[in-house]
Amino acid sequence: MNQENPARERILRRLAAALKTPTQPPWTHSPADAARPAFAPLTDIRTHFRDECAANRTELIEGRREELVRAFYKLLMDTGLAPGENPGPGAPRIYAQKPAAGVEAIWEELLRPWQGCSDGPDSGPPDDRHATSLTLAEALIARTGSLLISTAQGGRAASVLPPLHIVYARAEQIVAELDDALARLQNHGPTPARSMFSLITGPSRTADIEKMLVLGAHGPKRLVILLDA
Amino acid sequence: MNAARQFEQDARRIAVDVPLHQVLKKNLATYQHAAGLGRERFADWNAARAQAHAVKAEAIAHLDRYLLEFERNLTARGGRVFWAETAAEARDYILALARRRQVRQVVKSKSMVSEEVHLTPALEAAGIATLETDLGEYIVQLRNEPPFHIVTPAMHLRREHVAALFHEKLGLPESVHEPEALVAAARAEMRRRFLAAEMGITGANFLIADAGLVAVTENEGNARLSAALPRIHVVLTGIEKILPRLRDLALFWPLLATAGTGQAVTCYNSLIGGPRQENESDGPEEMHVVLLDNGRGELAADPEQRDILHCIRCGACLNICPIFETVGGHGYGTTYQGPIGAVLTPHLRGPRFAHLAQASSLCGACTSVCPVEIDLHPHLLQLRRDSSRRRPWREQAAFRAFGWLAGDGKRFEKLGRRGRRWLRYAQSLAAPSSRLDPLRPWTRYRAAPELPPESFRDWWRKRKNPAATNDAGAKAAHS
Amino acid sequence: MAKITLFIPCFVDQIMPRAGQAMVRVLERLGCELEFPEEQTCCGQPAFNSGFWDEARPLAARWARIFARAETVVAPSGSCATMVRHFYPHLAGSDAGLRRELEAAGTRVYEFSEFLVRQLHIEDVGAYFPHRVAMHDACHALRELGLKDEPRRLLRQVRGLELTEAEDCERCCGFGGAFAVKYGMISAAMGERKIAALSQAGVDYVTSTDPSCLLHLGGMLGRQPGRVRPIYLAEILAQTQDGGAAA
Ligand code: SF4
Repeated sequence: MNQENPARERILRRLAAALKTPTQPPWTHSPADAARPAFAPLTDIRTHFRDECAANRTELIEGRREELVRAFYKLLMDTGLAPGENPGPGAPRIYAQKPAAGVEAIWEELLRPWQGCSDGPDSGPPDDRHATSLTLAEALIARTGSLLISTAQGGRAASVLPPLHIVYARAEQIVAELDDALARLQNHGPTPARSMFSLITGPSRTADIEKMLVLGAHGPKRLVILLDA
Repeated sequence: MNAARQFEQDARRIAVDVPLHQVLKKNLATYQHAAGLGRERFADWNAARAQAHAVKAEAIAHLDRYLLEFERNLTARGGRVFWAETAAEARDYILALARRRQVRQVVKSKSMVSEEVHLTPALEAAGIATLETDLGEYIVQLRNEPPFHIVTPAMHLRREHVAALFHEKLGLPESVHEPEALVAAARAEMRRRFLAAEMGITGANFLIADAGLVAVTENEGNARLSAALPRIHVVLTGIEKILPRLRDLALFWPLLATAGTGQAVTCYNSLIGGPRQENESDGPEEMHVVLLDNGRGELAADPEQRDILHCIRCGACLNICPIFETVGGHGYGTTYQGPIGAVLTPHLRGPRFAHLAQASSLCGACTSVCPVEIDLHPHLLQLRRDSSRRRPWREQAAFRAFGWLAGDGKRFEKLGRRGRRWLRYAQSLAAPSSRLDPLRPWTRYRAAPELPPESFRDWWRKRKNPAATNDAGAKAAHS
Repeated sequence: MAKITLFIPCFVDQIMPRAGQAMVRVLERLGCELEFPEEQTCCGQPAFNSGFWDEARPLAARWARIFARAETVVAPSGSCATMVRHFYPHLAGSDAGLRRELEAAGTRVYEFSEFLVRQLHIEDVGAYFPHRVAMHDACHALRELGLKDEPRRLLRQVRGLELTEAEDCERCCGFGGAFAVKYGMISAAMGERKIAALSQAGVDYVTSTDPSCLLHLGGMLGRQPGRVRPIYLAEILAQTQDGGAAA
């Protein structure tokens, strides 16, 4: 008996008793329908990913490393960040996750011009001065043009607080289905160790006013994927 | 006033609210178009629905076991689970927690269960500033209204309404009407509050048993912020939200999005399984999951209507429902509107909401769109059956009389002929839809049908045997 | 040609006999042999829909008895065919014997257009009707019996007929039996919307697989100006160039 929460036992007991009676068959549906596949398999994963990104307003930049570094530099310049040692107080900043094993070099290259205005988990959580963030992803999903991130990618707020979220990913990270990505989370057992994951599909949006689409409701107005081909 | 009378009165008023119907028609048409395109992304939408039905049926059939599995796996990461039998228990737990931790500001992201337990008024009464952060919820909160729709709380408003509201409440210039600018103003206002709040409250779309994770679906990012910034994160949800396996989401995420908005998947689908862990750089110090029963356990005991617990609150049944479009979300006077509201509310709040099952033409459109194949209109029929002995005695007597009348061919024929003759006579005396018109309930809104002197069977008999026209038929023909 | 037992719903018998008469004419023209069991009254749907299952049950059992020996039953109403075919078994409760009887009863029942197109494989019944017509998909025929194309196929073969699709043709007209009087204000608002769509489509007639919808729509149309008139599907199909529909 749970002393602080006596309702727990009562609820569980009620359910156990309630569920002894088997459910009656449905009136209107045929369970046999479930045998057919719900989705057709994807033929071209890469193209599908590209099309889905376009549909959900993710900006996908594909290229070789140097091209991505250049694109990143331009993105930050356009966002109002100032390269160099000392951008001054109140200037917009970037929040970047710590590089995972294997991406140290490209991270170094991407962030080198922005030393003076970049922060990361070591300097505390992100806040309103961060105009943009840079993270990796756990996986990219072709079916829906999504990316899956965890708290390993700079924590919970890094990918939702700043108005521009930039993701660096490698083409091999693209999996076909949501199921592939979810299965990956359970590679080391059914209960993942991280406390939060997000499947992100395009920039933040709302259609609460007259069903009109507006980007950047609470989260990023822009989501950019730098895809290392 | 009792709930049934209130409903009737509100329905009478809203059914002729032309401006409201114009807004709804436009918004719902936009939705239907998107949802139609969304369904085409599936090779077989009905297969997806049947698969989802099977998964939910399994989850509900072993609900007790899966809830324990969820609890075990979530608490392993330091999350806490509180079980609430009633709305009051859920409210009190959250209130006591907020007081104990000196919470002064709460940010909330959309949760229909919090509406069900009236959480916000309780927090506000305790002096805790509570902000709805989903844009639609924020708008209705500023207007002091309940949500109009479980998915789209401000579906009944035009941008002009929002502009006027923001002008009054946020001091925005009166000329700002563009959704883009209105959203930006709300975002800025709410961002301040996010950074100051000590507690974030969210709902849950799914509780994943095998992974011990809470799945939250949203487009805006406010739920993610609510789970990321404040030092306490509270999830308030119903016990029926269980899915057995993490990988079930590969079906349920697209299914919910397609049925809810027509998207391939919703913009943000988050999985949250506890407070900040040791190796993590941010996140709350505490995470609490409040599991609400509030009548759901009893519904689980009904082997006929148990599948109401499959509901994933996508809103599709509301969006296609002509009754919803006529009386609007506020007409129902319930937390959950539309067909799902009509079948769920009597189970949660008792038979005084049985009238909602009567307010339906039983067209079955809801059942045809429900992504988890809930037998919605059959449940309306069953609820009518269950309430039949509580109906006004005149109604009960009428159907008993009808059963007697139709129980015999001769009787039916004879009384049918007399009835038609009498009605024709009465109609010749009383002006249509006047108080004396016996067909007034019909003629109040429509012209009376022209009653034929000859029934089908009269005609048939005469035709088969023109010589031996029976006198009854002849009389009828001459009357 | 097939031997057919007519299932004439109570309201058609008493209020809209012309719907049943038209169906008879079409079936006879196609050479069907017809019989009409005169003991039949009502299938019990009004009581069933209103929740009075105890009152509906004897009527269902009665119906099953009366039609027990029929080979093929055809009804001028998708709703009443649905009642017998899909809803009857649920009335049996735990009475397995009754359930078997009621299940058997449903297997031989067809809605009129369903019978013509799916059973007789006939689409052209030789009708002539030189008007603009829109089809209103009655809920039971559409969603319970899956009849969408069947009535349209028949209409497309009618000489002179111009088939027009009105907006939201699958949306409920608002009839719904007792609902139409219990919640008349909602029912009427739904009807208004239907009528607005029909007027928009600029048709002369609205037709349907269910005369009950047309009773409701006709009643509403009767109160307003405009030229849209209700006509039951069989009433169109009964008309021929040589004036074959004259009573
Ligand atoms: S009942 Fe079905 S359609 Fe309605 S909200 Fe629930 S899941 Fe969606």
